[in-house]
Order: sequence, then C-alpha cells, then structure tokens
Amino acid sequence: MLLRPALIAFACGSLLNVHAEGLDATAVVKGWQSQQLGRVQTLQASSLVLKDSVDALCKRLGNSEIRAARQAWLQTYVAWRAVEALPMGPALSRRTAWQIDAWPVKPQKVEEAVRLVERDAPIADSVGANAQGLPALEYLLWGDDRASAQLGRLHFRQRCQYAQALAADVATEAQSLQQDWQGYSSTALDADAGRQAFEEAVNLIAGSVEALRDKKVGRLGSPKLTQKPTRQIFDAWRSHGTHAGMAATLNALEQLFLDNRQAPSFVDRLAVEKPLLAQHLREEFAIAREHLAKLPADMAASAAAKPASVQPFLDSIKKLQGIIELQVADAVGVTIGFKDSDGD
Amino acid sequence: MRISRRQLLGAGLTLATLPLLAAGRQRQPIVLSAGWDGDEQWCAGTLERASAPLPARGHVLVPDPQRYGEAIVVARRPGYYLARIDWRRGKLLKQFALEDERNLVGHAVFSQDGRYLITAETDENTGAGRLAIRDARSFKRLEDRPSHGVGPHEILWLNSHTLVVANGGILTLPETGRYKRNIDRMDPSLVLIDSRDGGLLQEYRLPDSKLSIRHLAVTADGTVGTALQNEGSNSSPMLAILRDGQFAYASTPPELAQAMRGYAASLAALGNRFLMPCPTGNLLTEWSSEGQATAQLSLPRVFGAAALPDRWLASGEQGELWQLVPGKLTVQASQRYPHHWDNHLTVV
Repeated sequence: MLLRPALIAFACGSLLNVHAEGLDATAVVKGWQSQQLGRVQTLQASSLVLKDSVDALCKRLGNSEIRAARQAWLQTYVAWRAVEALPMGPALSRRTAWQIDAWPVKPQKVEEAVRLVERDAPIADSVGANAQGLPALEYLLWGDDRASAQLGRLHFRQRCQYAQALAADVATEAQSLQQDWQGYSSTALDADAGRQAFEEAVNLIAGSVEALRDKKVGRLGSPKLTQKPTRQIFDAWRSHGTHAGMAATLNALEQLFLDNRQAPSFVDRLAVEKPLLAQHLREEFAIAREHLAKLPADMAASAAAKPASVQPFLDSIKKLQGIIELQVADAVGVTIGFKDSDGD
Repeated sequence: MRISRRQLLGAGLTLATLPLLAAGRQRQPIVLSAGWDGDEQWCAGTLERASAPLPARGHVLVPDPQRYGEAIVVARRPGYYLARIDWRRGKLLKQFALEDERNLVGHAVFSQDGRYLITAETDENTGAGRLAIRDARSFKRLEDRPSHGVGPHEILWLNSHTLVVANGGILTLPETGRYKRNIDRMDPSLVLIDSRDGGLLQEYRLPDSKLSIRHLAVTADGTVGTALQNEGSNSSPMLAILRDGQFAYASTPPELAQAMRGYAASLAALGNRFLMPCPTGNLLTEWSSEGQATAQLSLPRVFGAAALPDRWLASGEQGELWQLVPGKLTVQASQRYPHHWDNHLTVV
C-alpha cells in the first residue's frame, strides 16, 4: 500500500507549555520510546512469521498449515495491539493503523479484491483500506461463520494470492515502521522537544484508552452494548482474539504508566508530587486488569449473549479514561485536545 | 474576487427567506435539533418531539426545502451516516451509510433548487477537505469537489452561486479519532467557492492560525460572521467578521476574551446582530455586524443559537431553551426539555 505523502508532513503540536514541576517530561518520553521500540520489534518479527506462514499455507493447503497461519495472525495482531497503545512518532506519521488495521473490514470489498489480485503484484490502490491489513486477512483465514470451510475456499488460487499479498503488506509496513522507529527513538530531545513529545504522547494515550472502550467494543454507528449487541461489533470476533487484543493494549498502557524496570516509571515520577493520584492510577489499572481477566477468551460471543458481563470492564476503562484525561493531565500540565465534550 | 456589501446584503436576504419559502405558507416557526436522551440514545426532531432515533450522534439538521416536515440529519464528526427524518411524526425515514474512506463533519446545505445536498467531508485517505454533491433523495454522491482546505465545517450560501465554507484547519484521521494531528501546523481558512464548478473565488485567513474557523452566519447587511475555537490560549477573540472584503477579529475587550474561554459553539444572525454561545465560559454573547460586543449573559453550557423574527433562541446542553430579547439578552422565557441538545438549533 502506498503511503500518503501529504499526511506524513503533518506532525503533532504542542498544546500547552505549562511544565509540571517534579516531572522530567523528556525522560518520561524517552522511556516510552524505548518501551515502544521493543513492541515494534515484536510486531516486525511476528509479521515476518505471519508472511512465511501464509506463504507456506498457499504452497500446501493443509490443516496444520492453516493452524500455523492463524496462530501467526493472532501473534501479529496482539503485537500490533500493544504498539497501538501509544501510536507516537513514526506509527502516527506513517499511518500504520490505517495501513494494517483499518476497521471494520468490509467482506464484500475483500471479495472484490480477491477477484482483482494479480500474482506477485502489489495490492492495487483502488482496493480500499477496509479490504486490507490484518482484519481482511483475519476474514480470509477464519471467514464469518464456518472457520473449517476456509481451507477449502483458499484452494481458489486468487484467494490465497490475496492472503499472501495482505500478509506481505503487513510485514513490509512493520519492517518500515521498525526502521523509522530506531531512528526516531535514538534522536536526542532537548527540554522543549521533550515537553512537546510528552504532551503529544499523553494525548495519544488518552485516545487509546478511549478507543479501547468505544471503538474496540462497539463499532461506530452500532447500537450500544446494553441494547442489542452482536459479536460482529467486537474487534477480532472472527478469530476469537478480542480478549487477547484488549489484554495486549491494556497491558501496554499499564506498562507505559507503571513499568520501572529500566528507569523510574511515569507513576513513580508523578508520585513525587501527587502520591494519592499515583496510587489511584495503580489501583484502577489493577481493577481493569481483574475485570478483563474474568472475561472468556471468546469475549465477543460471550458479551453478545450476555452484555452485562462486559459492563464492569467497560466501567473500569471509563474510570481510567477519566483519571488520565482529567487528574493526570492536569497534574502534568497537559491539555487533552479532543475530549468528547469538545464541541464541533 | 472581492465581494461587495451590496452582494452580501442580497445573499443575506436570500438566506433569511429560505426557511419561509420552504414552508410554503405562513406557519409558526418550528425549532429542530439533534440531541440525546439518557445514556447516549441519539435522536433528532422538534423540541417537543425529538424522537426520531439515530444510529450515532447527530449534529446539524437541514430542513428539506422541497418536503416540508422532513429534514436531513448530518452525523457529528467524524460521522458516517446521513439520515432523513420526518420531524412531525418523529420518525427516521432513511439512513445512508457514507462511502468508504470518507467522514462527515456535521454540516451540509441543500442546493439552491433543493435537488442536491452538499455535504462537508474529510477524505480519510489524504486528509483533504471535500464537498460532496449528493442526490437529495438517495444521498448518492454525484460529484466530489475540494473544500480548498483542511477540516471543513459549516457551509452557507452567500448568493445563488457562491458558497462560503469554514475550513477549520485541523486534521483528524480515522485511526486516531478526534485527536488533532496538526495543532502546530493548523491552517484555518474562510473560502468562497463558485458552486457551478467548485472553483476557489477567494480565501481569507486570520493572523492567529490557532483559531479554528468553525461556524457561520450572515447578517441582514451582508456581514459574514465566523465563530472560532481556539487551540492555543483561552483568551482570544472568538468572533471574526468578513465585511467590505476585510476579514478581521471583532472588537473584543480583554475581559470578554477571557470570559469566552476559547470556544464558541455556534452562531446565529438576526437583523444586523450575531448571537454566539460560548459554553466553556457559560456565556452567551451578542455582537453588532460591525464587530462590537453589544450584550452578554451568563447561561450554563449554552451551545445552540437561532433567530426568530423578533427574538433570539439559545439552547443549553441540559435541555434548556431560552428566549431572549435582542439588544439586551434579557430572558423572556425559558423552558427545560428532557433532552440534551447538540450544538445547533434550526428554525423551520
């Protein structure tokens, strides 16, 4: 897929130059960049396995091969969900999410793309984002309802060729992202640049938390969970990967705030002046993790059958969102620029 | 192109008479709005009967000039549906899912003959602002044109072949939701577009690029008012006017700039006055078309503004509707409805 040069030029901006005392914004950002580099490397490695697995599947259409391809898809998906927790720097400017994870997939568009695909040729620009990336590949590997029938459908040569093209596309983007990220994370930041990057990152984290609650659970325009949910409104419902994806994002978010293996964590730094808030944040992450752990692996089907089962988790994410957007942002002098209460 | 006040005056009169022409005969004014009940039960309709259900949050309602009793609801940005409602019966008549890789930004206008709907949109692939010309019945896109800027928001007719578009200058993209991706490179503009070919006739910018140009209204003397939203400080002018070919800030005393808190939610015109709600500052403001502040009133979370022939209407997020005296902004009457109103009121 082609990059969109017009967009690459756009960068995020400083929102408010208020420096919270006691918090070294540059050090926090460098810590986050370092964490994210590891996640980007995992994504790159898993996407290569995915590409090889799909190639192997199309060479020999067997049960073990499709199992391996599905496993590789799940690993890549989970790796991406962790990266997506903080889509800063190259992930933002390259529009990696748009390139490999435009969601929801449009199956009829995928079927059109299957008919148009040419062997070893790049995916045509005319194939929209909603027929590409990991969700489209998930559709080809699992189908909508009859996962066991997908192996037979992949015997149609062009179907397998399109699956290969999708996997290759994801691997190419992950490789480019990793290369860009290495340069990005090794660039020194002075205090002003560090502060600006910090403000952008806090905004992006707030956006990730919001997406975790809204976008990943309820498709835009669909009825809310408490009304008539169907499994289709959940991210990764075909592969039963909803829970794993949520856990990956939540875990990455928690580490961004709490991980102090390499250096003092964000919360450690926050605690110097705001010990109660820091403790509150720790507790709310733990509560969200506990609620998620109680949900089954096939969270989409389970929640569709029993919507109330997901509500405690959603409530905990909403609470986390509020703490980050209001108390934490205020404590570190960052303006969240896109709150839902923002008018139009 | 330089627009004279005489041309603008004509355009203003055209705009002012459109709702009455739509009604076809003398009727009591009806006020429409999108809103929500309870926990995100999105709906739209009249103040008394906002019961047409919506799939997601609506923003502006555009009355169909050819079908009295019907209106188009445009989804709030980033929005993915258009809806036609029967506001007399409180029914959703039609729902249209937007084409792939596009999103709506909450605003649209009908063409002069009422056969087409012109929607302001963002191309999710490139980030460019677009104006789509759609069949008003089927909503099918017939033509696609540039908005000549990023982040288009409100559109108005200036005269029979000129559209005025507020390009907010803020880039948002689907993978990052409402996250503003270019705050340090914002490029808001007010543009005049030839509706016949989509060509750019004129564009105007303000000195401060952090002031996003969002909402529009035209007074009887032809002045174009633009309500702003500040992505920088919270103490700047929130109204700018295009008058005699000059686009400039309204004369705003520092204490008023401070009180508006950097955010204007909508704009209405009555005679030669503008009404501009500033919900973050809990303040309703009135201005002359020459850009002088004429009155202010503290009102909680006031978002919507509209004009009746002899008075102002303003709506609050918690369901309030206030009727106010022009020139003084004293409250004539107020009522509270069991709905949360979105930013805009539309008078039919």
